[in-house]
Amino acid sequence: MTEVDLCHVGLSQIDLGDCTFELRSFSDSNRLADSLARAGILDPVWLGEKSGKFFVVDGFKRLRWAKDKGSDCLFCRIFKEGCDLRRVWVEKLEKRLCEGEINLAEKAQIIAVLAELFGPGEIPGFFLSGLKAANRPEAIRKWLLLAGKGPRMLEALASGEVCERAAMEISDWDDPGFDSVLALLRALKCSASIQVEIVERISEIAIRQESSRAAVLELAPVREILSREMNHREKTAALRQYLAEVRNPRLSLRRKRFQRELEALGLPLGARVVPPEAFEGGEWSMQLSFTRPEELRKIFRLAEPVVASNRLDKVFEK
Amino acid sequence: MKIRPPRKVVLESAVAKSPLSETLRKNLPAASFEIVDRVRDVSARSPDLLEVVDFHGRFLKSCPGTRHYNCCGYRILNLGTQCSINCTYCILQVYLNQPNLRLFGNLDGMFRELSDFFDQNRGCLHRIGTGEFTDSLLLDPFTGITRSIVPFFASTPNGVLELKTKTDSVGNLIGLDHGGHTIVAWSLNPEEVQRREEPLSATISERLEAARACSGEGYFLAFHFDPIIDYPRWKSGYAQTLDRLFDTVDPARIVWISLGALRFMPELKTIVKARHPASRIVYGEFIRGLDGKMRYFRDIRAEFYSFIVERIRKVDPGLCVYLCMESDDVWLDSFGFSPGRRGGLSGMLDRAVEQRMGIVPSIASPAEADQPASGCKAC
Repeated sequence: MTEVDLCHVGLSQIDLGDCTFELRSFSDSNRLADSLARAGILDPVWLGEKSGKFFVVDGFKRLRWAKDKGSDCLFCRIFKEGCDLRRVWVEKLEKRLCEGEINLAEKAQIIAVLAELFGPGEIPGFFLSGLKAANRPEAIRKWLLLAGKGPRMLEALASGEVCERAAMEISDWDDPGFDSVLALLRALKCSASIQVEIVERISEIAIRQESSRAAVLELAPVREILSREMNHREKTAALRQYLAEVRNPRLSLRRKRFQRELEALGLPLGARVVPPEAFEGGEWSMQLSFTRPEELRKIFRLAEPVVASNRLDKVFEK
Repeated sequence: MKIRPPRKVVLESAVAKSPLSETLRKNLPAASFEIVDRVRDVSARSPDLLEVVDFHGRFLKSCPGTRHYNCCGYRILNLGTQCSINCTYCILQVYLNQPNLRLFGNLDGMFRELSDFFDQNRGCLHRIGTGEFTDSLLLDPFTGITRSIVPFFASTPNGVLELKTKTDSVGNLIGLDHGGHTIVAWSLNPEEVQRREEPLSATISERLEAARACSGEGYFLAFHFDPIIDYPRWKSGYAQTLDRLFDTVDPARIVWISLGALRFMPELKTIVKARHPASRIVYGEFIRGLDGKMRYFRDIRAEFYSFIVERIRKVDPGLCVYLCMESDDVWLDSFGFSPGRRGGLSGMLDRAVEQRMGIVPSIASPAEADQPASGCKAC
């Protein structure tokens, strides 16, 4: 065990500007502030001793609260002068992992600290399992990239505006593309699976078109969709449709042509020819929607000459 | 093509003195040999390692076709698993859970199983291949397996062996008594695709030269344009390879040519992106097929097939060309007919064997005539 002491320390002896050990939550939760207001500081803050002064190891928010409140001194747990800073970090991370929910911004920062302490490939498994992080070099590499992306990314991670899988996907995007996609995801406020779909589509379109991701995001239709007077759900739907069309141009053309042919066929209202999914396989179907038996009879009567005509064959043409 | 010989061979004790192990000792003088009770399952690949195991499963299996697409009715003879050619699109990256090159050392068991199979199923033709879970000829310079398996098939009246490869390792085939029952087959692609996606394989020129050599030895040939890859210059690429093929070998020696556009289990995408980051093949216009695999959108596939079929027809209208795992509607688009109209895909291939190779299975005894309509218990 690290040599530690428990004692009262005057606030004037603590260097609050030394943020070496700070893991920011990037969250505006009031839970701690409310608790402090109700019950004050319940656990000792952790300090390290250095040249007769103290730096903060754990309890930044509590110390700032105590200072704002005008406290003179606090009961603290002290890591004594010359103690192993690696051990100090390990104990702090052990404590944080046991305290409950860790948001994605904290997760990125903790993995970055662990990689620094142990080396990216040597992080102990119990830390990674505690963080629910995959013990794969590629995954660790991506978390390190995310941790280094700066406050905007960490804020988006902490708030849940960017989900974990999408964050991993964009972690190695270059700067212009990264900034644009971050802004895009924050604006769309869409679900995790849709975020991943959008991010993957942008990447794949860029690869197919041999351009950059930033260039895809700068395409006029994308900008036009994002500038429309629509709510974020409508924008998301429009963007997904556009990206799907660009990603799958042949399928998209075929769908549009099929739709045109179907409309030209002139089937009665309530009757619809439905192709197989992505036109794969031979199972086409015809859907009939009606409310009363007379309506069904009418659909059949009107549909019969259309189905009998050779115009129907055109719908099936490749 | 230079095949790197394994530097270490791990033999299971049950097969340590088998003929295959003895051949390996002779042909791999620089390799170290270790005998173990059981080869351990590992997750990391050792590129220089060859495992020789005592195989307890069935050597002969049916082609794992699915009901949604037309299957060729082929049978797979498993001699081993894995491949070191490292093609970007290789399905074995997903399909097999053991990463090292592995051979089945108890070949006596394999021959016994084959003999039993042919004894019990004499009434119809059996097309059998070894190239499903490994390349048929990749390790042949060291194992010499073809030197026993090719003559074995020569002695079967109703068996045809197809050796599928991306190598030019045909040295052991020279001078063998094949009896016209072995087809040597190569997977083909445009040079550009070969360089990018199959960089450790034999070049297209090397494959075609090997095919010419085999043809000179009286072997029948087959070619598989599989996987066909979509890329901007695909038409000129495939046209060039077809031209070179027909410039190099006599089409009359070719029993069939198969066509199959790239398809893969969805899990392969992540693996290709991680292991082959320069490859662009997973970014094609894929849809999820009826069998759950990713496939190019059908119009793209039909365009590939129509283009290639038309060029083959110009050279040899009678040459059997077939689609591997495609639906009737894609057949109709590409060929103007579906296999069902020609007695099914399996029947089409059997007829190709009959017409090009002159192999016609015949029911030899009254007892065999009592077998099912197809004349075969296995069909």
